[in-house]
Amino acid sequence: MYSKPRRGPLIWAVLMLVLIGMLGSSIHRGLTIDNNILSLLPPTEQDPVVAEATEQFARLMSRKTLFLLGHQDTQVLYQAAAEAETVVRDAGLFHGVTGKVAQAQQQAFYDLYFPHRYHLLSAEMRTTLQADAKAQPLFQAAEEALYSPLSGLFTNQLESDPLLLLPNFLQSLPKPPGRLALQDGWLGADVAGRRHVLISADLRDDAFSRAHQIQAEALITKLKTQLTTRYQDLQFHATGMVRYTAAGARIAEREVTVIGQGSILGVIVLFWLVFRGPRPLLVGLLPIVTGLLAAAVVCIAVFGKIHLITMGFGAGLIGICIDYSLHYFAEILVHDDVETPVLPKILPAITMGVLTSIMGYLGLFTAPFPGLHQMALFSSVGLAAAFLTVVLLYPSVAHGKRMPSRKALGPARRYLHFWQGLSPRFLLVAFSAVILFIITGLPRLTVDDDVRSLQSTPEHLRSQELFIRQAADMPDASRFLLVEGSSPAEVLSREEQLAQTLETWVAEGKLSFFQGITRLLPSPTTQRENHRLLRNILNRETVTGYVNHLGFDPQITTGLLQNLAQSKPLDLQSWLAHDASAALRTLWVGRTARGYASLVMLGGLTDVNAPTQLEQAFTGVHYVDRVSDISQLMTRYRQHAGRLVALSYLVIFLLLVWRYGLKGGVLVTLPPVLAALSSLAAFAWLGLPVNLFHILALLLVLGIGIDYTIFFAENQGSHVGTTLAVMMSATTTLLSFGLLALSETALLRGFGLTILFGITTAWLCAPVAMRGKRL
Amino acid sequence: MIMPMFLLLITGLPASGPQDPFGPLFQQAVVVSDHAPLLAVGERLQQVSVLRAAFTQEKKIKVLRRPLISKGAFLFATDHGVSWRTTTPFDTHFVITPDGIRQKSSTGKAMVIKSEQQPVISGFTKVFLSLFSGNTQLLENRFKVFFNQADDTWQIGLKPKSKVIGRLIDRIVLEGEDHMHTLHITEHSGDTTMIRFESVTEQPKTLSEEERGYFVF
Repeated sequence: MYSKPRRGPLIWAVLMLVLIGMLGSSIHRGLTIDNNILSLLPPTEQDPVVAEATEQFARLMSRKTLFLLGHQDTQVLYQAAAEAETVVRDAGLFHGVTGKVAQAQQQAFYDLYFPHRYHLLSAEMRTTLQADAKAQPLFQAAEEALYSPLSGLFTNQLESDPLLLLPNFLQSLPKPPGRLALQDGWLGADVAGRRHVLISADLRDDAFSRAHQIQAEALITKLKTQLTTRYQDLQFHATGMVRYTAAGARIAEREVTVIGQGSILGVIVLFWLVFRGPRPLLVGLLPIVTGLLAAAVVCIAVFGKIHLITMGFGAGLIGICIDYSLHYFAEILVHDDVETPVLPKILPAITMGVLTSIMGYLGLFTAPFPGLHQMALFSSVGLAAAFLTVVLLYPSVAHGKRMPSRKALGPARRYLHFWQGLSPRFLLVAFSAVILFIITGLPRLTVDDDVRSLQSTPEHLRSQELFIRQAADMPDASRFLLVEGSSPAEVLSREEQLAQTLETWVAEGKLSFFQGITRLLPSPTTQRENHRLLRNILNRETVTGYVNHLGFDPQITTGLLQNLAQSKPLDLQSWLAHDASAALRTLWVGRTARGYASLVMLGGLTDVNAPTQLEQAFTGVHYVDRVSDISQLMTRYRQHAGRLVALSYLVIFLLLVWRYGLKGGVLVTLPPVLAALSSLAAFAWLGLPVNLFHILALLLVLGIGIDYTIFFAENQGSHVGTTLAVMMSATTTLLSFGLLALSETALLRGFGLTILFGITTAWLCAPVAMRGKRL
Repeated sequence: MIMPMFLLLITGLPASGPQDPFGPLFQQAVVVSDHAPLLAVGERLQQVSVLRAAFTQEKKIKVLRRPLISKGAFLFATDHGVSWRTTTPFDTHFVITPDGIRQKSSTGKAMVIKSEQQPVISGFTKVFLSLFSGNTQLLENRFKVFFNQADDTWQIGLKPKSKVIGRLIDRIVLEGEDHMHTLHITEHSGDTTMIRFESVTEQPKTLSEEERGYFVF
């Protein structure tokens, strides 16, 4: 009498309770789903200071949101823009909303520098005075300015700044890059004959909080509708990291649902078609539930949160978790007796299967991509849990009173006989054809390691960003220089020296522009030098001469000399605290682990590698090129992964040789090897480039494909059952990963497609493993 | 983004004089299209394609006790712009064209502001150039126009309509007979500029190679 074991189900039930309990407490504490693409990427910087500065900068830049409005009629435009500014400000999502610059604000900029005018000189004047310490050039420049038609611009400050030091300094400041100019209080540009104005805002919080993304997108949509209905012909563009993350999250959420539901549906349909009974279906879903539950719980326990991409990938797991159930039920079908213990017959096969699959997934841990680690852990735990469910629970619940329908065995038997009937010569020809396909295809294989290919930016967002970029000529936030020093003064001095070289680059056309704090704020060293030069040439005698020559009130001399003596430099902290520095404030990194740092942004580099020379030429300067860094990492790890894949295949081959002997080992390993290579060949023939993720997916092709061949090699008497199980298993796997291949996310699409090609081949070739045992 | 500092418009005191020589002129505004004598003056000015003169500029800045006096050569060409070449006391060159403004100092350093980079500039250049081209219609767009004629001498008075110009300029007076011979500018800050043109001639009617070069940025 077949006695239903008690221990197994009990252990399983306890495990389930523990898992549910842990999930419950996680949800209670607040389950976080991470949709930040950046957290998938590895840290590229060995240098922790640079890494932190880069991260801080990226965080700040990710909060910037820009709105660009355009209209033929400037009055209409200003009205619409004013309305937009109010709406954005009132929404409470942003701070630092900059739209119309009031007169007072423009004045504030002037007021910031005015008290320090005796510490400020144009570079040209400084050079002139350093060459020859005479007051004449300074006096003459001031006098000439007074004769100029433009004198009206600064004569009202003439009494307190008789030498026109401040206008002289301000005129020497570099113009802002790009076409944006202040007109009527609005920062804007003319694009295609139409005036556009810019409103910029900083998100209050991270661009990666889902709640904020939803709110921000809703606001932007509402604003656009509101404005375009009220003002005909108004053009509205908006860009910012938050838009991309919102779109990405929306896509990922949708896909997780589609893939999950699609896979489950496929499993249900298949089970019904084959087994025709409620019990197989319900019991069959248990390992999936357990698997996903365990995977989620362990991931949260280890990582603290689950990434959306992991969930998408995990949804594809559904098609594999089902494998062990399929084998169990197929085995039941083969034995015409409900009572026969099935587990002992399939245990060796499914144990080998789960071990090789998990080994395949664990290979993903070798690349330092946190995203891949999560996927690996999620999948491994899921599979292990599914396996344990079958082992612990099935003997008790899978056997019903009646046999499930045996009709499905028919087609399986026919396929099996077909395969067994194939002559060795035919097989040789067929396999040679496959090998030919591979050999002719592989040389055409192309690689694309550029990390930007991974980005799937929705077209409407990309076009808006491009438009705004062109209008505003924004610098490239992914390439910059980090300047370090032991004190803020040292940082600024070093930055000034660096700026001199960068200025020659601009003159030579190697660079369009650069932005750094010292463009607007001279370093303390330079300010002290300015002051020293002025003190050298300005004394009672020289100043009186100037004052009398032009006809100033003679008392002005005393005032000037007093101001000169009492003048203090403009220090960094005051500058940062002032409204006027808002635009460049993000460039001040501040305190770091080994001192202080600031950033210099670069725009329009003709040679993206050129700035590396600066690292040698200047102390404390580091060039960060995030795109290039990550792409190089991708290349390095793609090559590394290639070696790893080859090694894994070798290790598994040796394991199988140990179990099945040399010939058996070869026949069992051959299908997955051919699967992997023909997958690559398929990409080559289709002209699709591969990257690191495709290579890593080959590990999964190995892990999954080897299951099929192992099952065929192991199961002696019930090859029909195995055939049925493998056919169903391949169908569910292809369905799940096929859905993944349709993903909009390049990462998931790469995995899906590789596995699709690979598993198809593996399944077609798998029965060859049977022949090993026979001979 | 920094703002173009030298274009900061700073408030100051409005112009006021103890005895305003142009008081009568500014009593009654006119409508250009209705005013035949004004139109006639405008037409005469419009006939000019090239105008050259020697100028003397007298600038009275409030804070300074002595006026600043400079002399030089003036050139106006309808399709090009205006060029002020100062010779005393400094050698400087100031050029206005529809494309922008260029100021070259005695050290040779040139400062250029293009209209396309600073849209505010194009407004100013249009105003300046229309003072000489006699485009009375354009002037009426931007200014309230006043007119007076006594014998052969005419006076055109202009008060800015827009706040943007009004922050810099309080009023402008052009005086002339055949050609304009005096230009008075009263700035919002209270400074006044008076420019006298002498030896005014329309010959030669074409620009030399060098002169053409002035107006190219």
